[in-house]
Amino acid sequence: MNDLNTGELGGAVALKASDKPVADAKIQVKNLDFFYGKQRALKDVTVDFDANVITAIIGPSGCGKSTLLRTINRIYSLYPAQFATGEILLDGENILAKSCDVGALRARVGMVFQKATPFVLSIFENVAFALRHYERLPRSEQADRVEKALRQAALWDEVKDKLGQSALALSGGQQQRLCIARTLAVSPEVLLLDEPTSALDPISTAKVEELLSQLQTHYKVIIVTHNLQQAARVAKQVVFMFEGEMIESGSHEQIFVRPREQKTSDYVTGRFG
Amino acid sequence: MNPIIVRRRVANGIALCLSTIATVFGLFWLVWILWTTVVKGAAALKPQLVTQMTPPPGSDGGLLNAFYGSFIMITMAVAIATPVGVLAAIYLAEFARGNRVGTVIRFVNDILLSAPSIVIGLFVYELVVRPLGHFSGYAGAVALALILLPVIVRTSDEALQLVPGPMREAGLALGLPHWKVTRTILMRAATTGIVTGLLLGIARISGETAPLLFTALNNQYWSANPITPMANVPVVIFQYAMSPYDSWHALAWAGAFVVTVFVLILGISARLFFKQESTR
Repeated sequence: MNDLNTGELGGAVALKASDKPVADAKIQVKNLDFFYGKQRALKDVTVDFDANVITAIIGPSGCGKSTLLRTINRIYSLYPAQFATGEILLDGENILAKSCDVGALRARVGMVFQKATPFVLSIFENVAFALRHYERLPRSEQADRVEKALRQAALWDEVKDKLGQSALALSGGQQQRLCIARTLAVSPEVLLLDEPTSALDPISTAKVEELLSQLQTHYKVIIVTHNLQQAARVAKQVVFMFEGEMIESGSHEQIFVRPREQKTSDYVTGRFG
Repeated sequence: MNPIIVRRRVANGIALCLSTIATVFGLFWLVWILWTTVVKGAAALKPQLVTQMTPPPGSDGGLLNAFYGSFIMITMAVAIATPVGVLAAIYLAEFARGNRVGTVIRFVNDILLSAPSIVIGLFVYELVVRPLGHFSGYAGAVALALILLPVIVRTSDEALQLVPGPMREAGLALGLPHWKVTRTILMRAATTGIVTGLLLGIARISGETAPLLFTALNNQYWSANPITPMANVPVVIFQYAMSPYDSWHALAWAGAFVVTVFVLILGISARLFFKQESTR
């Protein structure tokens, strides 16, 4: 994958996502509208998410950034009153189509939420539970996979001696990393994170951020954050949303240093939000 | 002193006084009832209570057949109502979220919850006793199950709805089917609430008399077969308390005492269970 806007932090010309060839985009959102009942939360959003870089979606509260994220694995379809129109192409395949199998989709597109949601199971089972749903593995291999996922989530050393204990006994930061491990265990291609560190202390936040930068080589990571420093630290591609519209998408130096849109400039310089 | 402050203090004093009196008034009767039950019941507690059958007038006896009958009928009622109730609650909380059918079912369930138990007794009389041609332990169990069912539906539904939304979403976001998320993740998180509801439901049906009068009736003798009329504690208490014999009165008090203690134990275990689970 030849990313046009990686490795150019020094200030080469940043390309807009939409200028780039189709093959570079893992996910293409086209003319997406989203409704909570009658309320329209996304307005004609069109944006490409580049493959194998971290994309941050930023914007003020209520701008639709979480909503956009929630359409990408169709988690919204749990709620009958919510629906989306338009297209979201994952490797060229429209996931909003009726024929799309949401179970299979969500196995490819994992999601981590703002609030850590450990299941009322042991630490081991939290990770192994979904894994067993997809693959019939012998016990030993299962243990290997759980260990691998926990290592990837930088949690292994802290929990290796208490895998049988309840996950609820872990600290908030550990719980969040457990949720990431649980999602990684089923080997998704895309990882969606909805403000994953907003409830964490700075040390846990740093650990999660470090983890994300390691993950980007294997996964397409999309993170929603209202912390601009975080977006600047971890993301190569930044998407700015405002009042349900996609205002600007580009490399992080474009968004933070030379934004093309006045609204983007106002937001990143702290004039509103 | 500032007259406004004085007035506020007086008002405060009166309000405090009135609410204290109201509490004491309510507690007074409760304590009196419990006290009478304990004094008269404990005095009548004898080993024969659990070794002998209900006696004919004038001779000694116990309540063994009544305890056994109650135990069997409550167990059957729990066996019928728990799976149906929990499954119905799963439907309501997970698969009928926010739709009309769910709202209607919840409303009907609430009506069943507050239906007078004598009506349920008469209903089961028509449904089971008449076609069979005689009273039976099965009919009693069905009547108790119908009283227990809405309690279980309500508490399990609420317990499932209390499971945080993100946990449901997190399960689904792993690509798992909804039933699997429900069965393994949500049910586990809701277990405490469901078990608590069940315990309180059992406490509720263990004192029910009216529905059993029309269904299980009673039995002076040992009867282990639920197809026959079965003895049970509430109806025995009712009949013996209305009788003119002192020995029967004593047995009625003993029965009342045992039921009260049983309900108390269920209530306390429900609380302990809830507390232990939610602080885990």
